[in-house]
Amino acid sequence: MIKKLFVVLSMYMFSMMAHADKIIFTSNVPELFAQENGYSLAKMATVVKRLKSSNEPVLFVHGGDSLSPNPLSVYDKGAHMISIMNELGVDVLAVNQREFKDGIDQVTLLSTQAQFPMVLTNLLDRRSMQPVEGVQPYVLLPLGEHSIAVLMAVSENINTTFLFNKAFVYETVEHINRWVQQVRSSGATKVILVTERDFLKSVPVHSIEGVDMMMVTQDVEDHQVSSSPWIFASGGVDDEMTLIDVTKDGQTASVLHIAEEEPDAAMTQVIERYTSQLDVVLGQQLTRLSGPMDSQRDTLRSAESSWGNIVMDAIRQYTHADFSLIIGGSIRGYRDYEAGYVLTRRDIQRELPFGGTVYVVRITKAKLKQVLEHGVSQVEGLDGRFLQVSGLHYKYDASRPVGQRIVEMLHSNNREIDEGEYTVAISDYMLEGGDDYDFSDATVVSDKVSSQRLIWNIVSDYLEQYDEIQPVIEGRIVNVTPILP
Amino acid sequence: MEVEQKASGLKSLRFRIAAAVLFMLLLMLLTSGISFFYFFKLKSAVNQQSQQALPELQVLNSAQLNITRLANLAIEVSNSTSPAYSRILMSQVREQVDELKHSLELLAENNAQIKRLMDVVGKVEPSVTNISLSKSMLDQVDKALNERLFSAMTVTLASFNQANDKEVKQILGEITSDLAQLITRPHLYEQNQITARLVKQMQQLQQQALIHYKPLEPLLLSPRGVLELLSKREIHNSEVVGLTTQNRILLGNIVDFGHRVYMDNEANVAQQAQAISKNSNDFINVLMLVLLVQLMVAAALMVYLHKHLFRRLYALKGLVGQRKKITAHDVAFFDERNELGSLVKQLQTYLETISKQQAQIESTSLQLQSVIKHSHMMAAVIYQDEILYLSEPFYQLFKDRELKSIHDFPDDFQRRIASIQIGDLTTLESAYWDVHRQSWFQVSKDNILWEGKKAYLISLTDVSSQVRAEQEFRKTLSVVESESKLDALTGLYNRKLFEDQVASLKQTTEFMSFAVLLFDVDFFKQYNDKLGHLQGDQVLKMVASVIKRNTPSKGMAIRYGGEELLVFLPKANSSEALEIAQDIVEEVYQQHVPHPSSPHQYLSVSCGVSVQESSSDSLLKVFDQADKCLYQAKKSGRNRVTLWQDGNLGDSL
Repeated sequence: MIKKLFVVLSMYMFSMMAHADKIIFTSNVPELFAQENGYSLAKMATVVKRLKSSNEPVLFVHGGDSLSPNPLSVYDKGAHMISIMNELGVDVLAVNQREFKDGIDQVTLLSTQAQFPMVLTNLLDRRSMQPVEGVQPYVLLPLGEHSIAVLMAVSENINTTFLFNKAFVYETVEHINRWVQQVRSSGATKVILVTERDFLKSVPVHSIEGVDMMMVTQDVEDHQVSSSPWIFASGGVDDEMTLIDVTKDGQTASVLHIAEEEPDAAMTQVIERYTSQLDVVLGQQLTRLSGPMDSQRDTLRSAESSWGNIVMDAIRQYTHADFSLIIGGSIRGYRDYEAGYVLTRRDIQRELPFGGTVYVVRITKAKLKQVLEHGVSQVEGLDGRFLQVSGLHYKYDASRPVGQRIVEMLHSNNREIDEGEYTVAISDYMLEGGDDYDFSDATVVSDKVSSQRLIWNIVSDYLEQYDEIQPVIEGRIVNVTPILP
Repeated sequence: MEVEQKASGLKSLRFRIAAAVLFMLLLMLLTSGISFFYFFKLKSAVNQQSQQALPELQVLNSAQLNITRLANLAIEVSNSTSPAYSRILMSQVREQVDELKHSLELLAENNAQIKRLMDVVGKVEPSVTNISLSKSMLDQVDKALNERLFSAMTVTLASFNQANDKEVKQILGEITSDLAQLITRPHLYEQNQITARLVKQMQQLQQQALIHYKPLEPLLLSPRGVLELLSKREIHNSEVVGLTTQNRILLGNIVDFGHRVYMDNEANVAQQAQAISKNSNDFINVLMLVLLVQLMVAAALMVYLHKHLFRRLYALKGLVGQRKKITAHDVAFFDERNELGSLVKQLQTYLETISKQQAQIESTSLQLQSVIKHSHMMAAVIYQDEILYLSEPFYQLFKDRELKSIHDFPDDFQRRIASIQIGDLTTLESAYWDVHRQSWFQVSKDNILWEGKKAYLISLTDVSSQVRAEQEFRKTLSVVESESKLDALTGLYNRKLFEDQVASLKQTTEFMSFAVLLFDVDFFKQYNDKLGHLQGDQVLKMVASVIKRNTPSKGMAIRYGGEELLVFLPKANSSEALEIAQDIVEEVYQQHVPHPSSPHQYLSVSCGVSVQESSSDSLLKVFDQADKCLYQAKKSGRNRVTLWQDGNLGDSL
């Protein structure tokens, strides 16, 4: 309470002193339900509404990556999240990668329901070579005396994650600079470029001209990345929002913590509207954990995860495949569970928010090795492509060149994997080429019916068999990278 | 009988083979039993599938169909613009939910999953109802909003026309434009921007022209105004979207649940089918095992039969065919306790008897040998052409020869031996004539066991006296026989002899050049009639004696018929024949036997002569020619000779 008072008071004093115009920013917030770490859409709404109700001009720039994944997005493809953003007072949505999870046309459809404009600067619909219908290359918004231009640049890898070459992406400085000139000539006094880390990695950042603020959408602790050029990273299912004070001379950013806020009643109602009847489904208790379990991001993307093991075992049992291999990036719980915790469907859907389905492919031992190699090819960056497994064990050495990192690959009983063909369960995302996986030469052996079930249902069914389940680490994935002194 | 008894019991072949066959029969029964058992098991499993599992799948199938229809109806409800249509759809939703519940109730027994599924299904109807309600609210708001917008635009336009102030006119113009844009702009944020502008414009209007503001204010800003309705529309809209999403999740869960239950049931059915298949496999395995055992038993039976029956039968064949002697060891091999053994035992007894008899025969033959050797029998023992033994008298018979083999005998003797069958002897006619001794020997041939060899014995018996007696007898017989060829009255050969002669002549192809002289007593009938048969016979005797007297020794005089007499002259020419005929005719007449009926006064004969001129002429032909000549002679006056010459009747002489 004291902290809350302090926040309100300090902001009030700050605003009185500086008379600054304010920009609120966040990204990567697809989760519908409040979390233990303080994350809550309703609390977010409280803060935004309070800021907007003050005398100072406030803009809420949303960095996207939020229409999915969550349990509802699988069913309504993000429509509920547009309603939530409407209620949240979003002024502009930078259309990011996950907005495209259900394709370009779905973004167009949702744009009509939004009470805010959507922006995406460097992506064209390959069918028309025009910007995505309903989405604008830039948006000019008044903020006090400023005219704020918002641009959005996604990484070219969207073609491997969600759009599978259906989009044309300009990943060049020249393209951005051209649009900056355009907005400047249209009267923009301040230019915000919302973008991704991957985009900034692949273009020379210092050559970007005329941009005042670069907001990196990232699931991280919000922080200043650099001051010149001015880069700030913000996003994630946490209790943080970024508040930028814009003055004529420049801008300063601070991090707001929302954990202690009161949830906004209207927002709660909106969420209710979507979830009120779902307790009968989501509240279903599945099993009790007889030991602690974690679904932390770092673990899922670089090492054996006790939760990952359960998910993989469930998939392997469902498909009767020799092995199951699913990317760690499809698991999104990022939390610790204590022993005795009772898992519900809500937990499972939170952990596996993409829904997703499984396919069984028949591949050779060589291809299996190649797939595992791909899994660890970007392990240093904790890329989502890292594979959790069942039915086999592998060791990797990240100090070795890409393509030579798997140093051992055995059956789960430590038997040698013979030459020959094996059935492997993978996700629809991987089969379609997501995260640059290539199964175009593999034979799909699973039938259509069995490939219709969502992974969270498969895992829920698996867990329901047991009164108790023991999460274990059993040496499925061993990191043998030498630790340098 | 003793042997038969020994073969009974467990060791009996009959018993053992019967036992093996019985065992195989039992195995077959077992196989059939197992087959029936498994068939019944399969039948019940298949029955269960068809009567329980498959109908369950059918119900689930129809449930899936209900769920799909329900999902479609929910979408239609959220898109419906007519309240009546919404009501129709809702009644269909209820119908589908009821059907679905009914289907699930059929399956709910003891199935926790389905009970939970029913809970979820229970939520669907209220959910769809809520959608329908929200949708109708949205529709009402939409309708009201359109009416208000239209009124507001009408009022604004009227005010615009009335207003004189330029600034006021501009505000009213902007309001008109914004109201029009409210309808056309697709994006909500644009509408928001417009509404924000409208609020500002209204504020300006309020300050500058209250008169125009007043009629517009309730249409735009009041609780039932355009702005309020716009936000209400948005609320209802998002309500519909939210409820639709929820409903979709519920239905999605139901679909997944149904799918899962269906898959479980399907897996169940598949499992049952697998169990059936496994049962069948077990069945096949057991059957194979039993068959294998059967085969093994059959093989064992074969081996047993081979060892105890076929091998022994073969050995028995050997025993009987070659050995001719059965030892105690052999008997032991055949195992006296079974049928074969007893048979062998019997055989042993027989063979022993036979060998005893053989020994007896051998001693007898030895005795015979000594008898032969010590007797004066003319005997030789021959074995495969080699002469094993010669008795002294036999040796004496051929002492001028060195006799070692049968080929050293004189040829005719060899032939004689060869012609005789074993156990036979030559007839007296074919008896062997020994020139040196001037004696006849009868030859006999017999089997003899000589020094262990199967030889044959040739023995000779002097039958000279019998042969001579035989010859004597034959001589006597010849006389008798020749008499039978003579005519009793005349002493000439009779006609039969002539015919025999004719027959023998026919066979010889050698050219003989013979002559036939045919005589006939002239007017013999009249003579007989006048002087009686006895006188006739006397006359015939007289004529015959003349003929006989004149017939040379090489010729043959024959009484051919009653008074017809014939002379056959072999190797004769016509002159010789003619001469003889002439002599006979003349001599008969010169006897001067009175004949009362003859023009010649005395008894006379006529004669036809014919001589064979070429080899092709048969006796018959020649005879016939002679006959024709005789006829000619008679015609020519009798007591004369007519000769056949060059194919014609010759002149009578």
